[in-house]
Amino acid sequence: MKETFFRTMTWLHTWVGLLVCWVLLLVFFAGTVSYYRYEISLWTQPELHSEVFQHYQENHLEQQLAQGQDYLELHAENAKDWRINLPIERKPYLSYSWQTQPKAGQRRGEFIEHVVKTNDQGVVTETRDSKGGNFFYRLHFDLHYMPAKIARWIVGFCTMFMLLALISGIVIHKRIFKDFFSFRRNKGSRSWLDAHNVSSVLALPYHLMITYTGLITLMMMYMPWGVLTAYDGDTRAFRAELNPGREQVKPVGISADMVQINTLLPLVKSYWGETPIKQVVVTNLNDQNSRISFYKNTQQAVTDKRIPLVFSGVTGKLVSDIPDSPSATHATHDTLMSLHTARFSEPLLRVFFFICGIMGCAMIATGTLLWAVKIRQKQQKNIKNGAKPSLGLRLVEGLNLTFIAGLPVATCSFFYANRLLPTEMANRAQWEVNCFFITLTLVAMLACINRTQTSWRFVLRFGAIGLLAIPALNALTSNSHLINNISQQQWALVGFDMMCVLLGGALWFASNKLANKISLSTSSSPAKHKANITPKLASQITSTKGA
Amino acid sequence: MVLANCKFRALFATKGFDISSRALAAIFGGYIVAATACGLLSLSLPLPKAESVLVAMMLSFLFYLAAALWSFSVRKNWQAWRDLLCISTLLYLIILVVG
Repeated sequence: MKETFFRTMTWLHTWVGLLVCWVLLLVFFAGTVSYYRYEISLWTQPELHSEVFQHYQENHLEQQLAQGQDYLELHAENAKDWRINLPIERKPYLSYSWQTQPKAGQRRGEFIEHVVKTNDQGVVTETRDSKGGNFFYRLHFDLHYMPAKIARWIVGFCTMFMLLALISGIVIHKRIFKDFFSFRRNKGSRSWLDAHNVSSVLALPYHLMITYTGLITLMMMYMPWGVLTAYDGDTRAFRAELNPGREQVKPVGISADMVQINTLLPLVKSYWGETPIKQVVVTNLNDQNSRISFYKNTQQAVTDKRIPLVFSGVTGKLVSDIPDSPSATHATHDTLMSLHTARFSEPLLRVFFFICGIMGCAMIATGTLLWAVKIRQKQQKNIKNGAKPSLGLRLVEGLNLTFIAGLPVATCSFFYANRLLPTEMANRAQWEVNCFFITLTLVAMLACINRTQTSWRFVLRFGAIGLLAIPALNALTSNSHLINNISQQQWALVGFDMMCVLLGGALWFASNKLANKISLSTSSSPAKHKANITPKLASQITSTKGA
Repeated sequence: MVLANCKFRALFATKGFDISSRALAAIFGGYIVAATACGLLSLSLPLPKAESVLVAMMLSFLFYLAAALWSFSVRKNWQAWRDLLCISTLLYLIILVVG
C-alpha cells in the first residue's frame, strides 16, 4: 500500500493501534485487575473479614459435609441445586450456597450463599450486595450496559486489532535488541517511543499470549464454522464430546431419599487420594435422578477443566467415567485456556502476571500518548498562530485523559461506593457499578473542557489521594484494619490495601512530575524546560507552550 | 455520462477509498478466509472429529491475521479482494467436495 512493506506495517501499526486502544485499555485494565478477583470480592464484603477464615482441614471434612447437608436440607429444601464450598487458598472460608428455582421465563434462579463461622458460632447470612471482583472480570469481556453477546463481539474485534498491532509492531521494530537497552529520558516524543518499546518488548511473550488465548477462550462464538462443517452445526454434540462430564441429567419426578454426602468420601479418596476437594454440588434434589458431584482443587496444575466425580444421589454409585489422560490437542487447548485465566498461579507468579498486565496497559497508554505528542508537534506552528488543534487530536487527547487517568479513579470510586453506600439500598450492586461509570463520565466531561496538564494533574492527584486513603477507609468501615489483618495473617486483605497504597503512590509520583513541569514552564525558557521534562510529561510539553 | 464516469474514477482513485476498501477486505474478506479454512481443516485433519475441530478453531485466527496483513500489503486494493475471495471460494469448493 505504501512504497515498502515496512512502511505499510508502520502505517498499519499506528492506525490499528489507535482506533481501538481505549477499549483495549479498558479490557486490559479490567483483566489485569481481575487477576485478584477473589481478593477484591473478599475485600468488598467486610462482613466476612472476621470469624470465618479457615484452612482446608482434611480431618474435619466428614463433619463439615454432614453439617452442610443438614443446613441445606433445613434452609434450601426447594432449591434447584446445593453447593458446599470448601475453603481454598484464595477463598479461605467454608460456605453453603444454593440456587433457588428459576422464576418463569428465567434460565437461572437466584444464588444465595451463607458463610460458616469458625468454632460453631453459626453462619453469616447477610453480606452486602456487591459484585466485587466479578465486576472487573465481567467488564473485561462483557463490558457493561449492553447485551453480553454484542459486547463479546466488540471485544473480539478489538482483540483481533490488538493481534494485528502486535505483529505489525514486531515487524517494524527492526532494532529490537538495540532498542531494548536504550531508554532516553527527557527527550519528548523520543522518550515516549522508548517507553512504548520497553513496555511492549519486555513483556512481549505475555502480550502475544494473552491476546491470542483471549481469542481462544471465546472461539466457539467467534469461529463456529468447524462445528458447522464437521458436526452439521450440532454445538451440543461437540460440547458433549469435548467435556463428557458436563452432561446434565433431568429429574424424573420420582422422589427418593438421598444418601449422606460424607459416606461417599472414602470412594472419592480411592480415586483422588489426598487431593483437596474444592466443591460438592448436588443437583435434582430428592429425585430418583439426583446427582452428587465432587470437584477437586486443581491447585497449581495448569488446567482449566473442571472434571468432577459424579455419584448417583440415591444409590451412591459412581456414574461418571474416569477420563483418560487427555490427547495432545485437548491438552494444548486446555493449556492455552488456563494460561489466559491463570488459575494455577501461586502468589508470586500471580504478581508477575499482574505486572505483565500493567505493562500491557502501559504499552497501550504510551502508544496513544506518543501519537498525540507527535501530532501536536506537527500542528505546533498553527497552534502557536492561534489555530485550534485538529478535531482528531482533541478527540485523542480527551480520550487519553478519560481512560488513562480516569480508569484508576473510577476503580477507586467503585471501592468507596462499596463501603459507603447504605447496605439496605435497593439495587446496591448495580449502583456500585454506576459509580464506576459516573466517575469515568465526569473525567470525560472534564476532558471536554480542558485537556492540559492541569487536568491531568488534578485527576491523577484525585486518584492518588483516593487510593492512598483506602487502608483508612477499610479501617473505618470494617471490623478489621491493616495492622489487625497483618497480625492475623490475612494476606489477601493486607495485599489489597498495600496494592492500593502502591498504585496511589505511583499516581502521586506522576502527578508531582506534572506539577514540577508546570512550575518550570512558567518560570523558565523553553530550552531549559525541554531539558527537564520526564517521559511521563512529554506528552503535554507542547500543550502548555500552546496555551 | 462521461462526466459521471470521470467522477466515479476519481472516487476510486482517492486515498480514502483505497484505505476503506483494504480495511473492509481485511475485516470481512479475512474473516471469510478464516472461516472457510476453519471449516475445511475441521473436515480434513487426520484426527478424531472433536480434536480436528479444536485445532481448526485454534488456528483459524492465524489465517485471519495473515489475510488481514495480506490485504494491506498487496499493491492495489482490488487485488486484496481478488486474492481473499479466490482463496475462500476455493476452500469452500473443497469443503463441498470433501464434506
